[in-house]
Amino acid sequence: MIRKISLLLILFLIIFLIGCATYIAPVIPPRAFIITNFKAPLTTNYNGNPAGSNAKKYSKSETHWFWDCFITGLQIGWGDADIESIARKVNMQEVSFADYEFLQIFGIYAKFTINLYGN
Amino acid sequence: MKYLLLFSLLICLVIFTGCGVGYLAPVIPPQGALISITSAPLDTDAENTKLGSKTGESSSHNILGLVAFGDCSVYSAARDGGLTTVNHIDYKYLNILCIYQCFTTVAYGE
Amino acid sequence: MRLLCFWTVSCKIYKVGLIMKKYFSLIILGILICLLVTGCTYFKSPVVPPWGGSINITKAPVDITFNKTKIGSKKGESSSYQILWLISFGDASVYSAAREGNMSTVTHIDCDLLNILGFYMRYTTIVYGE
Repeated sequence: MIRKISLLLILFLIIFLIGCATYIAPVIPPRAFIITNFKAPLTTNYNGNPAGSNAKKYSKSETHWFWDCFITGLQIGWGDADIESIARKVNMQEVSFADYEFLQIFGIYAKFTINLYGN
Repeated sequence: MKYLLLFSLLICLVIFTGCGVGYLAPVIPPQGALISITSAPLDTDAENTKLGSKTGESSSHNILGLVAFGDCSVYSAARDGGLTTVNHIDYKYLNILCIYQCFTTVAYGE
Repeated sequence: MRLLCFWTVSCKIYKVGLIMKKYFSLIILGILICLLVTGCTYFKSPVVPPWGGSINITKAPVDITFNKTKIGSKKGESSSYQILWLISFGDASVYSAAREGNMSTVTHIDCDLLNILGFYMRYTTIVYGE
């Protein structure tokens, strides 16, 4: 019984230590093991930036991350989350600010979405 | 006894991997290991910043380092306060024994 | 009573240690394999989406301060490369990207992150302006 528990713990340890999708952003709220889904600020520099009804255009783009931990062990990331392609989608002339959304499930799949606001 | 061992190892895992506890922001004041009730700036460029008369807040929550959810984006904080321009942002961080954590973005503007 | 509890816990930790010793090589192999495909990032940029340790093909913003920012019509790129974790070279500066795009003002910066199995990595700075 203790052998099974210790082996399970080791597996648990490896999956959750290594499988945590690491990313960098200026602001990262507390993340979690099982499921993480939050939105957080990306732009942290404001000085009269238009928001609410003053920021009329909105666009977003996603990047995905997947860890095939059972068969190949490969970690793959793909997607375009650059501001230029996001702004061009809705023909945004002026960018006001950006937020991001992060979704992670069990350290196996993660999605990083940038939300762009402007005019 | 073995469940206690398992549980304490799980808590250590949560604390030491940094996956379930802790956050990142431009300014992080000294934190208490058990209880934290702090506020700090998110916008560190204060040139000619007028704070404005309206404020709005939005929060994300973390329970036991196992489940994290919520929306602490500036857009939601601005919508909450009915802001049309954002002049400054701060944040509030609440941590109770690593059982419940709350990260709140506060937006100031007009 | 406390001594008994302490002794029981110590015995169980000792048994776990014995099991770990038995599977030691397997554990080390597992950790090594995990580290090779790990999600660690070997560089720094203001915004990095979740990093694919084996294969990564993503673009992300570099400049995240906006003040009614207009994305310019001209575009320039410059790259820095890393081969086999041994050699890195290149110029990913904004200046060389602006020069490549023949622009005199830069309004916005993004980046392109490419990773092929950790053997070939490329960081490209993309600038937009007029």
